[in-house]
Amino acid sequence: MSVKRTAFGFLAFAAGLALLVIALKALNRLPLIAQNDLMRRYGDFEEMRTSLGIREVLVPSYFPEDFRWPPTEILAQGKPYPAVVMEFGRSGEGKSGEVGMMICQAAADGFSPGGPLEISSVRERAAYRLKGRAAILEVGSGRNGERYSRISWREKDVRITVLARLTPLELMKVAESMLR
Amino acid sequence: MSLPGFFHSWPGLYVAQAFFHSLVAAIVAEIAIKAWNVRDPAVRQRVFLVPIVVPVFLFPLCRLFRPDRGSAHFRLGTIFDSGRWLELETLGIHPAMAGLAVVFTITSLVFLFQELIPILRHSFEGGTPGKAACKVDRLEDPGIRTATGTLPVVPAVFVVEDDDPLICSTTGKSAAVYVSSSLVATLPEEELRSAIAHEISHVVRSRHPMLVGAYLLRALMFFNPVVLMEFRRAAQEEEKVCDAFAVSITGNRRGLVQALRKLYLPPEEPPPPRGRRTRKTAKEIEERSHRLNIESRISRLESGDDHDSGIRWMVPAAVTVATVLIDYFVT
Repeated sequence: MSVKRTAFGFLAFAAGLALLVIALKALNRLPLIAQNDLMRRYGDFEEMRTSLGIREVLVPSYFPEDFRWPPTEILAQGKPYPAVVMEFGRSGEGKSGEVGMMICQAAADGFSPGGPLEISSVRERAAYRLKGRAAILEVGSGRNGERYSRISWREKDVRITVLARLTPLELMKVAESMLR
Repeated sequence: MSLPGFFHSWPGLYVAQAFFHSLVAAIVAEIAIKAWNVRDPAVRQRVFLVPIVVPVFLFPLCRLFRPDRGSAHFRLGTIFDSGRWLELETLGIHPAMAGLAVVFTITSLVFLFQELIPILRHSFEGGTPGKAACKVDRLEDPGIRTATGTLPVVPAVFVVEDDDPLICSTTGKSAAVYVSSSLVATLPEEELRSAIAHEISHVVRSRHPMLVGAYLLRALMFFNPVVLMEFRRAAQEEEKVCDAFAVSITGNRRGLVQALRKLYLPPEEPPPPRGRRTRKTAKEIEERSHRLNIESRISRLESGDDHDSGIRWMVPAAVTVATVLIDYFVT
């Protein structure tokens, strides 16, 4: 096979792959048009609540320094079970806007939000009474050594998790402010 | 277990994603064949094996290297999330899940009745044709003895008393080529040699570890219609690879073309009067498909050598890499 034919083949192959990826991405959007309760990003908290009809989403009334309402990103779904993920970026002067806190509420224990915040190793784990609820408080570190705190508890059928690059004390204040 | 319950379980996720991964791989393979105009059957066969092999390993490997692959964030960033289609719900049913379940069931039944049961039956019957009692060794038949005299590798060749012109081979421990007495009497020596050389190449290649491995992986993907189709395409290419092997050991392209024509291309019957029949039977479609396949083999043999060493491994490698890269973002 000549070099010219091989090179042309590579170009044609790359063009074909590009078309395939475009077609797959287009096919990936079709279900979102047909059904509005599939997992998607929302720009606004009220828009998400109205669209999915999720009545009760716990939100904090206390925010540590650098964090504020509304969330910088919201991912949510109504089917196969309701799940809401809210992410909060650090705001304020000199802050990069990187995500520093995530609140996840899902009606299934197997739900995994993923995303930029992740505890790769848990250093301490303790049971904690959060306004009468049995909660688990964990302290650990991420891949690059950054320190994380995580607290999770169950509210009726919903598992609630708050994960943040905060001290455990600050995190507990956030979690407590979500409960009346 | 309910349908959503199955598709949310690990086995359900595996079968659904293996299906979509093989579908993408089959499209990538087709793009590569068109892009490089691949005609060499050995290369085409390797390309068709990619959609069979890759989906077996991709789902567990991706989960191993990226445990959060099922997370909301990862799924929203993918090229194609099969979960979106599977979760579509109308009137309390999941049409995509139901459709996939029907397709997987039909494919499994096709695998069972067209492949697994015939193979098991063949194995239990000892791997010899029904008229094995009439077989004679090749050395006792002067026609076969002359035809195979110059071939470098000759497994057991038997002549079976039969009025139909037939030739076939069995593989495994009792590998042998079976030729009907009618065929020995009908074909001239050079055509008979070519036909036997083709069967010998089947025997030799059946010991090829790549093909054995591909078949085992294909059996693991018994539910997957894309794998079923691609395996059959790879099997068709196998015939062309064996044709090339036969030509390489006999040095006689024309002999094999003539043998193929006499063996498999009887004159077509005139079509029935118009209006009498509007539907083709399954048998007619199968015969037509078989005829097209033989004609394609003859045309390839007549057009000359398609062997292309420059792309022997490059195209299958490119297809594998592109498939893995795209399928990584197909969940």
